[in-house]
Order: sequence, then C-alpha cells, then structure tokens
Amino acid sequence: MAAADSCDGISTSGGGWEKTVTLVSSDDARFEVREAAASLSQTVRRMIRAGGDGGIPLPKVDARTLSTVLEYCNKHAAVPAPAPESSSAEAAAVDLEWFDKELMHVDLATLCSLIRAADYLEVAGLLDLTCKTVADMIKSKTAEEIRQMFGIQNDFTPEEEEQLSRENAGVFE
Amino acid sequence: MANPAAASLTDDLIVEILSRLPVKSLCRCKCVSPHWRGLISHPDHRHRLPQTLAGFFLNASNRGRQARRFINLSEASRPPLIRYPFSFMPGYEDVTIVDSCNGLLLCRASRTESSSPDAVFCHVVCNPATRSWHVLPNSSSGCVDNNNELRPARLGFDPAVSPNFHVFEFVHSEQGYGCVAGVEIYSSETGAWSYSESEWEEETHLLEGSPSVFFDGLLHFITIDFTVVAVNVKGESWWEKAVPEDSYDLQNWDFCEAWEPCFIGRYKGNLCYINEFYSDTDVSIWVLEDYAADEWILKHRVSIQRLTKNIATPAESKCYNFITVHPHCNWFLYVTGSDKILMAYDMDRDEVHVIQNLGLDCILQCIPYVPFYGN
Repeated sequence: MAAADSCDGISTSGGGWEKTVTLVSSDDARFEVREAAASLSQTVRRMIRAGGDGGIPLPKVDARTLSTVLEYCNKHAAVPAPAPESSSAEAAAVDLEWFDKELMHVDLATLCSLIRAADYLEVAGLLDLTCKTVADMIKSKTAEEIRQMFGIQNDFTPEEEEQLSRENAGVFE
Repeated sequence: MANPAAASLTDDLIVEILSRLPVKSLCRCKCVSPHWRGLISHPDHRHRLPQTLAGFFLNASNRGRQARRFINLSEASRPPLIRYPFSFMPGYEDVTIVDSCNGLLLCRASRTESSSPDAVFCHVVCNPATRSWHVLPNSSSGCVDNNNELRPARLGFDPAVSPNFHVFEFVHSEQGYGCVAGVEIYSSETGAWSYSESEWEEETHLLEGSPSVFFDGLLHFITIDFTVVAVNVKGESWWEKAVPEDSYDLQNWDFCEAWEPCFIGRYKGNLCYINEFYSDTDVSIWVLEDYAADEWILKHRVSIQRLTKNIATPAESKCYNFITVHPHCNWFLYVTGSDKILMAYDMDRDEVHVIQNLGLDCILQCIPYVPFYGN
C-alpha cells in the first residue's frame, strides 16, 4: 500500500517541486498524493481550500478503495492537455483507455465500492467509468440474472409478475 | 449470493447505472423488483433515463362520435401517461396533432380573436412530458394555401444532434393538383421561416395522410407516384428514389382498398418501406441500407392472412392499418379487425402479437409518441 507517513508539504517528484496533500482513509491509512491528482476529486478540492492540519480525513472510503481511486486520479491528472489531433494526443488517449479498462478488471463488490467512493469524492470521470462498467455487465442479462448479481429478492406478487410479463410481451421480451 | 456492496448502492447511484443502459435493457430492469420499477418510472428520474415508444395519440371514431385520446402501449390498465387534449395550452379552442418527432408534437391550433370572426390557425410545437410549448409565427400563408387548403406540415427534432427543432410546411404549386412547389422551413434556432423551391420532380405529390420519417437531418415522405422523397432541414438537399421495383402493380392498384397503401419507417437505423403490393397476399418489408448504393433489400415477407388470423374475418382481412415501426425493437405495429385490435409483427422472429383491443369503429389518425423529458 502506498501509505506515507509524511505530513502535508512539499516533496520532489518527476524532477520538479510539486505540492502534495495527505488523505486519510476510514481505516486510518495515510496517502500522500500530488495536489493536482487529489483535486480531480471535487470533495478533496473543497477541503484543500478550507485548509487544515494533519491530512484530509475521508471517513467514507476505506484504504483499499481509496488506493484504486488515487491510482485513477494519478494517471488522469498526469496527462497534460495535448494539442488535439496530434499523434501524441491520440497515443495518450489510447493509453488512458487501456489503463481504464485494466482498472475495471475487478469484481462487482469492488466496483460498487468504487462507485460509492467516486460519488462521495465527486470524481466525475471515475463515476462515469464505473457506472458504465456495471451497466455493461447488466446490459444483456435477464431480470433473474440481475437479481442474482445484486442479491435482490424477487418481491413481485404473482399478479404483478403476470401483469409485467404481459406488458413486456407487448413491447419487449 | 447476496452482495452487500451491491446492496449498499443508494437509489441515486442505481439510477446513475441505469441511465447508461440502452432502452431495451432498461425495460428488462423494470422486472427486477418493484423497487427498481419504481425508480425507473419515477418522475424525478425520467429525464436521466432513455425512453421508448409510450403509446399513440389517436384520432378515431367510436359509434359515430369522434374520439381523441392517448393510448398507453404497454400499460393498458393504468391511467394514461398523457391527457389529451392538452390543458396546459390555454386559450386554444381546437388543437389537432399533426406530427410527432422524438418527444415533440407539432399541433395545429385555432383561436378566435375579437378583431376577426374567423378562427385563426397557427402551429404550436409542444412537449407534453414537460408541459412546455412554443407558438410558431405564421409562415407566409398562415398554414393554408391560396385555395384555402391546409398545407401538409411535419416536424424534425433529434435531441441527440441538436436542441433545436424544424417545422416543414410544404407549399403546393399554384396550378393545383397538390404538387409540391417548395417548402417553408421554420428553425427554432433562428425563430424564422425560410422558403426553398422544390428540386424534386415537377409533379411530386406527397401522400399526405401517410407518416413521414425524420432522421439524419432529412425528412422522408412517400409520394403517390411510388417514390420516396426527402429534404434536409436547410431546404438545400433534395433527394428522391423510386420504391422497390415489382413492389407494386399499378394496374391493380386501388386507392380505396387500403387505408395506407404503403408506408415508410425506420428499421435498424435505416429507411424501410413496407407495402402489400408485391402480391395480393403478402406484406413485404424493404430496407435501404446505403443511399448511394441505390438498392432496396427485401428483408421480410409475411402473409396478410397470418397478420390478421383469428382477429379479422376473411372479408375484413384486407382491413388493417400500419401504424409505425417500433423505434427500439424490430416490430411493426398495425391495427386490424372490426374492433380495431392493436397488433405487432416481430420482423426478427416472424411472430405476431396481440397488444390490446382498442374497441373503436374507425381510426382516422394514429401518431406514435416517445416521451422526451429533457429541456
């Protein structure tokens, strides 16, 4: 785990001086992150502005989830805005797409934790990516398969169920 | 089996996921649980979720009396989604729906003004889902031609491409006979009409009672001379094409026999043409996959007897009305039988489905409606 003991401050990275912040997960793990990356989270950005000592507490996100969120933020914040339509812009886009795809190779429970974290931290890109991934998993499943996937009880009454199958026979199978 | 992480998603986050589904999958999700069904149909969420064909605005007669109403397609037992006529458009005595396109309706409304004894017509574009409406300024002639005939008008709107809509009002030539001389096009962006002269064949005569199809910025119409014509929203690009060869038999063509002698729609993203003239006994479905390749491809053929079996008596078997091609599943919808039973033919599976009995004498006009909850 990329937990760091240092306090908020200035550290060297990539040959230059970059401002970092420390984020603290619900299970007290500390993560030192470049401010540019952490600021992809609107929630963290607001907290940085508000100031404070001893790191930014994020009581709704555990260390495992937060480390994945930060992996996403570090990668996405590292990409400078390249000139559109240049070949390097294209390569960077392909690289990011590949990175996103790899990051989403996790089970549903992890994806749901990431969705909640992305929503709480307000990382719009990650919320979109995770929701799209789950939507793709649901897309071609039957209602019963979706229930199993999410552990949802089928609590339709038999009458409602009959009505539903009639309605759906009218439009969709 | 129970998945605690998945179960801990808030309603808002479930909707966040559902909003990224195609409409067909979303409909399946209504069957997951009453809770999910409630989330999908909740008014606060509808603007975030894709919508499908909700039903039809019907202008019909029942025991000799005019009946105008909205028919819910899939939820026959529930109160109608939309009440028609629209109470949210005050001050108009008579509102007739002329066309619908991706959630917006083009209506012709009349209002009597103190300065004139005659009713004044105008076009109104409204969105019944958001109860918003927009009165169009009159085109050069105020909806009517020199000989006092209403001009055929149509609507073009595609929220995926632009928030603006266009209204097309076809102008008949002065020689009469209903031939198209040009088109007045209203753009909601500029708030003004502009006239373009027709570049179709001189004698192009639109089949005004038949539905038109708008997509890719082109309004498609069928003509009485067995061609399909199209014009774009700028009135700059005019296109025409003969319907598939052998798909009609002019000698035996009888205008009175079929309510809609032929029909255009959209099938898997392409223009399709449906008619019954290939033979007396079949309906055939043709698709134009490539405008440039210039070739209609026969996709399906189904016997009329099969479409009307057990519903219409042999004498009534020719009495059926095409209504629309479903925008999200490859069905065409039609009405048949003396009670006017709404039916669907699944073109992919070659299956016939009964949807509901409309219980009407005669259908004059049936306008499909897909709600649009955006602004």
